Amino acid sequence: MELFADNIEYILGGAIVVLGLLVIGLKDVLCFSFRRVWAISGVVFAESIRRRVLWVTPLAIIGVFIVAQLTKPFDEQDAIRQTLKFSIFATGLIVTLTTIILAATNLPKEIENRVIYTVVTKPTTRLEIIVGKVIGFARVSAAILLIMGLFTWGYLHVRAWSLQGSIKAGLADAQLSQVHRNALQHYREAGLLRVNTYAWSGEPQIFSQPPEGDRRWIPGGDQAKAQFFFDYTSADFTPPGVMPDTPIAMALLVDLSYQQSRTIMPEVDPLSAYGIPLPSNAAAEESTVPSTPTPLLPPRPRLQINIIDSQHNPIARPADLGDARGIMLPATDQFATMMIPLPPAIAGKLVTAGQFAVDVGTSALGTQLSFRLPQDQYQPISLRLINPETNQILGDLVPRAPDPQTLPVRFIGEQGTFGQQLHGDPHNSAIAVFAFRNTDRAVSSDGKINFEMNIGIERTGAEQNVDSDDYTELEIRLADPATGATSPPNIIQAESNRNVFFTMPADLAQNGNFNLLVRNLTTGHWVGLQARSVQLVTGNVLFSWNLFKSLLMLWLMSLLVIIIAMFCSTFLSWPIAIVLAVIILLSNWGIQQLGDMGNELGNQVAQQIFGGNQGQAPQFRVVSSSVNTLNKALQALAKVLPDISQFSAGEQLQRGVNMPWRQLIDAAAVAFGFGIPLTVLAYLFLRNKEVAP
Amino acid sequence: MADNGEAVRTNHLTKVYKDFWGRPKVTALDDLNLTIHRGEVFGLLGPNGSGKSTTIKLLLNLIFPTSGDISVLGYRPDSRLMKEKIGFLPEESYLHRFLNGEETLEFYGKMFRLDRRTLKRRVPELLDIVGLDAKARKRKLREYSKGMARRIGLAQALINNPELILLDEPTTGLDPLGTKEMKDLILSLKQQGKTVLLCSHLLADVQDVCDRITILFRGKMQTLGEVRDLLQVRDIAQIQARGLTAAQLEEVRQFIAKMGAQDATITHPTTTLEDLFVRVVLQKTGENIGAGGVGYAGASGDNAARS
Repeated sequence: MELFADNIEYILGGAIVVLGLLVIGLKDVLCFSFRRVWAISGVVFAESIRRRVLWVTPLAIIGVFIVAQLTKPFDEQDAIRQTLKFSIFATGLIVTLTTIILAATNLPKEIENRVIYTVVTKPTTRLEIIVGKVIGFARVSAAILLIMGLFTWGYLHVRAWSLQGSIKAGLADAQLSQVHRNALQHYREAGLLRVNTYAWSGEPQIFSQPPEGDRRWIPGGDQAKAQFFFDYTSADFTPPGVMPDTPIAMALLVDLSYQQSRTIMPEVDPLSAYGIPLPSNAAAEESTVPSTPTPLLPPRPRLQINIIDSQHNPIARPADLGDARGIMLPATDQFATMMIPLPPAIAGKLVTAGQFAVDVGTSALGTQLSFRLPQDQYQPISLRLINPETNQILGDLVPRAPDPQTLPVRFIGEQGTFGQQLHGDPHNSAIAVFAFRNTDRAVSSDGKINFEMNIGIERTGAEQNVDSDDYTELEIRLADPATGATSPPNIIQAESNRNVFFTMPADLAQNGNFNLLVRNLTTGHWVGLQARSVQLVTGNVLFSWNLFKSLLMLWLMSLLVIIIAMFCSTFLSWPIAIVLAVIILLSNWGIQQLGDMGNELGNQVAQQIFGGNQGQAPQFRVVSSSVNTLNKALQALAKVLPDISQFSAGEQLQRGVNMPWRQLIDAAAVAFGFGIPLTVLAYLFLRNKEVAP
Repeated sequence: MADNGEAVRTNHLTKVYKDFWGRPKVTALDDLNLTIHRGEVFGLLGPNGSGKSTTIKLLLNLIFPTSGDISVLGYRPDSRLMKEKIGFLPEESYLHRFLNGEETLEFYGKMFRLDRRTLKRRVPELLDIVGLDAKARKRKLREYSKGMARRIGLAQALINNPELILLDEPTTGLDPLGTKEMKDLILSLKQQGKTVLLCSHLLADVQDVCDRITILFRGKMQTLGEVRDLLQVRDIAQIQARGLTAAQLEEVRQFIAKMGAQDATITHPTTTLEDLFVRVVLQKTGENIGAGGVGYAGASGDNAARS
């Protein structure tokens, strides 16, 4: 049943194709003639061209010229990027508008002015008519794309050539910042139309010091947390041999150690900073870490545990687990296992949710938590199931990721505007680790590998008021995870959202497995990091080739647009067909914007209508459940509608990244996966349509 | 299906047009039983809204019957094999306006999967037959006059050398010369053994070329038979002679009156206005219909026969 629900669109599409072509339309399939189809497509193409459809391309070209002149790029590469963006946008816009109008109007107009009489009375089938028209309009869109592609190629080359003069002038300017100078030098050497192939790490992970063996450290002060995933079903919470209705108690077992490396004064205690008063005897009670018996150490740190469901909605906060300040860590700097009982209400929510994550961190400044991640079954955290009447241990659930190939734990930093934040500190900053695995490398003649970095930088309020071009200083190291060897630091300067190009020695990345360690050395700057913030250059391809792939992507999109418009026009008048085609194209995207919020959407809507304190009122529940049902219906509908976000043609081209074939294959899967069943449906509708008005 | 000499047969053919909700709105054709024999020119007559066009649309599968059966050349109307053997000239020449004459014929030829060599021969031949000159062949159809559009429409109907040709108002928009040429062509097609179904409300045209006719009114067949039989006035006799003087004519009249004839009169026959027009125009231009390649008759008819 789950298999059916997950693949409903393919099952439905396959059923339409089989039923339409092999059962209802078998005779038409057997006498299918590609010669007739090509002749029909030729008429459609010739008619479109002679109606001067291609005149939209000069209009689009003039538009691109004008907009490109009006923009204010922040450097030469950005000028190219913006020109490409306008060009691809204009190309996509005219090809979509043209094809949707042509395809939606063609059949109704041929029926209206009776041209269809002389075609259907010839020995052609209605399947050939539909396929011929689709191919004809696909030829029209290919012609538009060819013209726009040639223009884009030529205009970009002319613009890149003219911008080389600007680069030369910039480099001659002695006042130029070092960051900008480095970028200009790179543009001069590599060219502005370069297209690279890249390798990326996964999401960066934030640690307080570099990982060593199975040990991981995360910084306190809410800079990072360890997130453990649990992927279970409700049935997994009833161990074998236990009756289903047996009450189950639960407790979290957390195995960790901690270190306090920073002395702070009591008045800046983080808990005080939160406005939570310490108990009168707390200071004496909490400053008893035996191994570091210094009176300057802050109070014993507390552990903050949050549990969230798969939609990031909270299941348990620290207050739900006994103390809003968190759970006090044991009075030892050795590894110790803490057992944290879960209230029955929280346990019940975990059983219902099945999929959830446990976040572990500490808000204590100057404290770092340490976890052990051995390769065996041992886990630093587990969920213990207990019989509350006999206190008998029924079993332990260990972290488990939905994808068995991935680790069920990640160490993530605090989320900022630009991604996970890395606080600036010249002496004691956290480390972001980008783990590159099994990557290809393009080693330059001097034994280096090339990286590109693009990060967002936030500053403190005081820094933002300073009118200066201060850059952010980063320390980059390359580490071999197998040996632990680390390269000498490479200090680079970065500015927000500007590409930084740097190299690292290739000798520690021999087999393509390495970690890139990034520290932020500038106090008051918060660096935002994402998975694509740092990319390894693995090779390069021709700009023309990448442009061709982008145009191919647009052609696939236009093919889907044509088929949808043609399908709608087989049973609707052309104005309504255009509107319906647009709705079909955009619905999946629109539903995705609503997001899969589970039952939260209904609650949010009901709360907005009735206020926050009417959770039990019948009206509240009616509205909430109605909205949730509607939301579920829309989510189900989205599965049988095409996802046009798969036709993202300009993103890679603008960024100078080689478009992977995988992306084109995904786009083709959407175009043909939805296009073929819709073509068959269009044929079936036309087959049973009286074409005489 | 077995060939029993019938080109078209309908049994209790009924077509009821319905509204959006599926409720009957108009009965366009009511229980039509019709047989058209192979090799005859059959006229389908009736005033506007009588069901003529509906009958043709049903035969061509452009619309579907509410009840009843249709057989065209022994096939069902949705049969591809049937479409291989028919030609259809619609009421107006509904063709692709952005193609020129040659492209139009090539397109329809490809619908019959005619190969390149056949098309190269067949297209100019048909354009000659319908009288479209070299200049007209290269012009787009949207620039054609109504008469030229009828000619290219007829050419596309003949592209496959059909056994059955359905002509819906074939002379509409044609001048008298063109009308005559069209009628000559219809007769030529009949001589070649082809069946022609003619649908028209220009009764003189039908009378000139049809072997049999039926008259429809309000969706029902009112009469069916051979034109000669239907038009013949059986109680009046007509004698024709050439070279008699007025005195001799008077003697003949008195002789007939003596034999007991009532209301005996002697007059001179008149030609038709169409004949007069054709004669005047041809004398003026000094052209020969058959040799000039501008009409349907004579050599052009022979071309049609050969093809």
